[in-house]
Parts: sequence; C-alpha cells; structure tokens
Amino acid sequence: MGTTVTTNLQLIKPDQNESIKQALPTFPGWASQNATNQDKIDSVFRNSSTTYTLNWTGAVSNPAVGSGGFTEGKYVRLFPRLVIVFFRIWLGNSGIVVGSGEYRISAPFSFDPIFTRFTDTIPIGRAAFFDASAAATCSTFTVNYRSSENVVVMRPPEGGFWAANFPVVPAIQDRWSGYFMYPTTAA
Amino acid sequence: MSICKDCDIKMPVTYTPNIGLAKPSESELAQDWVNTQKWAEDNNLIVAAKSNFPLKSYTPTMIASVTNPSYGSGGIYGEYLEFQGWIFGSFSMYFLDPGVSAGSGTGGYGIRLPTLADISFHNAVTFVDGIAAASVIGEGYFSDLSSVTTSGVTALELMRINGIDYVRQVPEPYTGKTTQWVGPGVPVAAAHGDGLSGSFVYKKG
Repeated sequence: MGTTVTTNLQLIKPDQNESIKQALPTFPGWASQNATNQDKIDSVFRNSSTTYTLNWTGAVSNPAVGSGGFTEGKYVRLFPRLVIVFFRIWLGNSGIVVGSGEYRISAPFSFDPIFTRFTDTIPIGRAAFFDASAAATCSTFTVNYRSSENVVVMRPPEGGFWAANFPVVPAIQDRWSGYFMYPTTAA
Repeated sequence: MSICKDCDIKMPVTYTPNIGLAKPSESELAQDWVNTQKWAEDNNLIVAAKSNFPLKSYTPTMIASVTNPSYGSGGIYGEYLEFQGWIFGSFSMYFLDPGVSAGSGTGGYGIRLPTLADISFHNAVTFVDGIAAASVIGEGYFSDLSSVTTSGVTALELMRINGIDYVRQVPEPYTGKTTQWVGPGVPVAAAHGDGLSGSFVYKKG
C-alpha cells in the first residue's frame, strides 16, 4: 500500500484510511509520514554557509598565487537548490605563476543541467579585478558558467575571456573578488 | 501544556534542524499522542511565519571621505528583504538640481546597506580608499547623463566604516581612469541627471 504525494515538494498526502495506520514493516505510519514531510518542508528553509576549496586553473597550465597569496571559496545553500558563492583570489608578493590559457574557477556543487544550453552566455555573477600596478586597468568582470567543461569563467568588459594574458598579465598583489549564484541538481 | 518549540517548556519531541518543525518519532508519539493536532498546528504557524518576507524600505545614505555628496532635489531609495539571515536588496539614487554636489575626498562613494553584514563570513575594507579587494556582494550601474563613455556597470564591494556597512562601486576601465572606484569627481563629478543604482546579497551580521 502506498501513499500519494504533492507535486512540488513530494509531500505525502495520505487518504483517511492511510493516515491512521500504524507503522508496519511494509507501510510507514503517521510518525514516519509526518517526519518525512516536515524534513522536506524544513529543507526549503535551508541556511548553511561554509567554505570550500576553490580551484583556480588555466586551460593550458595552472597558475599559482605565490608566497602570501591565497584562494578562498565560501558559499551558502538556500531553499532546496540555490547556491550563492563568494570567492577571492589574492596573488602574493613573490613566486607567483601566471600559467597559460583561459582561467577557470571551481564551484562547490554541480550545476543544474538546464545551464547546458546557455554555456558561457549567461552571467551568473559579478567580480572586481584589482590591478595593483595600474588603476586604469582595475575592472569588473561578469561571472559565467561553461557547461561543456563544468567550470566557472569570467568575461572582462573588453570581450573574450579572463586568461593568463587578458585583460592583463597578472602580477604580484593583483586580486579578484566576486560572487555568483546558481541552482544545483540535488536538493 | 504548551508543545511549542519556542516556548519555555521542552517536550521530548524531535525537531527539524532549520526552522524547528515537530516530527515526533513512534515512541514520542506513543507518549504524547494527545498533542498530535497541536504539533500540526504549531508546524503550520511556523511555516506561515517563516514564509513571510516583507519588502522593507531603507535610506541608502551616501558618504565620501571628506565631504558627503548631495543629490539635491533628486531621490534616494532602498529596499530589501531578509530570508533566513540573508539580505537581498537594491538601491537607486539620482541627482537633480538645485543643490547637487559631488562631495569631495579620495576613494569611492560609500552607499549604505540596510543592515550590518557578517564580516566573519564576508570581508570588508575599512576606508573608502582602502585597498581592494574585499567581498563583492552585488552589481550596479553609474549613469552619466552627459556621456555614454563614462557610464557603465560596476561591482559592489563591501566596506565597514565607523561601525556602519556600505558598498562602493568598482567600474569598468574607461579613458582617463585614475582611481579604482566611483567617487567624487570619478569618473565625472556627479551632476544634474546622473544616477547610481545596484542590487546586493549578503549574510546579515
């Protein structure tokens, strides 16, 4: 014997006969049904913020932040599937490696496949670029998702993609900071 | 006898982690089955209360490092809502004569946020010309009525100055750019018809 569920949250909605059953090896009783429902409703009000390891990579060879530099990824999960990510990349005072090719950063959870059809095109966030050596090239980038490689990329206002040589070759003490938000697949 | 989680009397009932909905186990139910309806009613009240996100208004006051700007007879508006400890909001302001003043000082304009941010989660600079880059928590736009080339999109960077939280705008490159932020005289002195706007999201402090 089974029970029917609601459309969106899959809440159990037993009929009158089902609702008064005790828990049996083959049937969840009221306590079980209620707990399942309350957990699903509760998940709509999710609020968990924490850190994750932000991977900063290059399409050809990887960059490195050098001595005194760091990468930082933080995120919150709201509702069942909304993820909001805040990230920073700070280059150190020495020993940095610019790598080569387009730059990418990682996200904490998989993207909903609906983004596949919009690869590279839809901005999902905004970032600031601080060029320590020139105020004129400090800038703001859009943050975009590239579904074909499952990575997050950025686009400077000059066009093209954020890369080891674009819009400038990164140097010591340069910094990026930004945020993006997207739906995950798993609730 | 109350069975409300927020009340003083604690009943031996299991609750959900985020908003405290009652989900008694079989044994808990067996001990207190008479309160089944009350649990359901309390759960409904909690869900109803937590589902209400009223849009509130606030004044996104602008500051500069020496003399604050004046929007003259223009307007300044802000609104936000809070969901589970996170703030989603926006601001807009436009400058209209008489009375427009761009203010003065180095660094960017500070545009006040509706609440303090959680700076154990975010990172904030402490001066309007403090070195970048703090947490970017939104995006905005600067509109120069007299020139397309000095209008453009911006990133919003978090600042905490004298115990109050603001954002400053980081613009795109433009011809003649000499500082990193939108501020007094940068990219142009705010004048009649110019405007600033933006939207943001951050963890409430």
